[in-house]
Amino acid sequence: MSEKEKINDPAAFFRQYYGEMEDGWSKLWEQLLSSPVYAQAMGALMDAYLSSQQAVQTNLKKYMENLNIPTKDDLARVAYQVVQAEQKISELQKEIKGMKSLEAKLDLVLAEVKEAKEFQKQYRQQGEQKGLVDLEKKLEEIQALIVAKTGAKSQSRSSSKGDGRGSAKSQGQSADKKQKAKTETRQTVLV
Amino acid sequence: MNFNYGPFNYAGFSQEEAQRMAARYKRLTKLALHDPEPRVGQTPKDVIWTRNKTKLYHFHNGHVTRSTPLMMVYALINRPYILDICQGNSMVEYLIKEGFDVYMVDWGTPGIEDKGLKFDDFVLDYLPEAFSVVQERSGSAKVSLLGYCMGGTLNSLFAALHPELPIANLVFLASPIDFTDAGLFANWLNPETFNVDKMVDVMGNIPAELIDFGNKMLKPVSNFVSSYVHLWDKLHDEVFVENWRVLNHWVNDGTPFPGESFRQWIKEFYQKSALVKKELFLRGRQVDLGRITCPVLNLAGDKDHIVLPNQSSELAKHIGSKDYEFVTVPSGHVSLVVGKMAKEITWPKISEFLSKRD
Repeated sequence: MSEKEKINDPAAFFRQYYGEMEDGWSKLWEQLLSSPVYAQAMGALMDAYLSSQQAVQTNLKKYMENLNIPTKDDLARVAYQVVQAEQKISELQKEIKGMKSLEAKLDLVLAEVKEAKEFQKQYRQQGEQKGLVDLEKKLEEIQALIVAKTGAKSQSRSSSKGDGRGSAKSQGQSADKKQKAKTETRQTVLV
Repeated sequence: MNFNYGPFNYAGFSQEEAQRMAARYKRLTKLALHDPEPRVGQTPKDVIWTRNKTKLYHFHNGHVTRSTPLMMVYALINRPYILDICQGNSMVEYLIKEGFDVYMVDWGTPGIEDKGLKFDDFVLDYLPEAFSVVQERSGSAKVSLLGYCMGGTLNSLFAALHPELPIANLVFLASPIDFTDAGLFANWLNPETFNVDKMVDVMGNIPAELIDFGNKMLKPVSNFVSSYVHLWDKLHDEVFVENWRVLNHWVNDGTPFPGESFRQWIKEFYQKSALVKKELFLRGRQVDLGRITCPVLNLAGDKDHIVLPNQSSELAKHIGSKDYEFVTVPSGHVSLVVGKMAKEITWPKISEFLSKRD
């Protein structure tokens, strides 16, 4: 800023003046603000202001009540209830969200259980079929063994008698017994 | 050129001087009469959670490279957009570019129905819910917390009362913890002269203008005069004028202090220093800062007259963290988070601290 500007521009004049005074003012204010006197004065001023406000508020409240007009406190109460209701809605939303996610999880679990059951059923069916086939084979083996044993015995008996005089009746009875035994064995195995 | 009109005598001015002066008056007129309100908090974001007046913002970031999200918590007074004041001068913007997933709690503007809200509510109800929303949204169990001014104090209470939560890191910016030496405030808020009970009972919420006046009275000459004198000096500098406008907008855009919270703030913190004495109880639960064990970064401005540096630095004596770093920045309260020093020191320091522990 040139010397001429400082002299001729009114703003520049104040700027120059302020520049020279700034430090002094700052120190002065600092001293004042840090003194207990300032704190007491501000406290007293605030106290007086609050007392007057309190009186105004009390009178205004009575006046409003007489006129059946809601006061600031009434409005605050309603607004507070709105806030509380909003909060409850928010909590409910959260719970519903939680339930929905729980429901989704339950659906997943149910699907898994269903799948497992299906698998178990298929496995059992396959197992049963395989088991039956095995049993059939074993049964046939047993039959073959029985037949082989009983056939060998009857041959040795008839050969020990040698004359072939064994009655046809007894031979027939023996064959019936064999057949019965075979049937019973088969039934037992099947059961 | 020869100008001799009225009280002004520009006869001896050079053309350049006359043009500069004319430009200055023109800019001043435009500033006072025509300029629209500055646009602040412009980083794109979504509101992902609300409770009463409180909102939780999630800033858009298409290239998150850090695994731990960062939740910013601001004070109960003024607006949190100081951390995202304008493009090119925004902490949020910087951290997003650094790959952080950034969230911010905005306490909103309390109404008369909120005069009963206490620190208990913010620390035990609001913050835990916001924290879990950040966990859910980000998919990360761990969350880092950053608190500016009273936001840091709130974070310290939250962390101390929720040691079970996976707080990854705590970043404090000009946060008052120890109130035994609170400078001029200690003198003004003396219980013998300052009747906080009467104030809250009569006023309900404490008006923003009163809070603003109290803060400005800490440096009355600087705040009420020097600020405008500097503006006058630099009216020709468009960048300076823009920055001045956004900051001035923020300073005058305060929010009321919820009445019961104000009562606690003055009585428990300023008058009793209850936090560092372990005498602070929220819903019957004792606040013990020793329960804070996560890594802590603490930054303070050496010229801060609102939160004195010693009010912040004392944090180290009370927390249980072994991983602790304290950084003093050559700045004031606001210039710690916006402006030249913030860009050169504060923001890179935060990014570096969090990145190392990511």
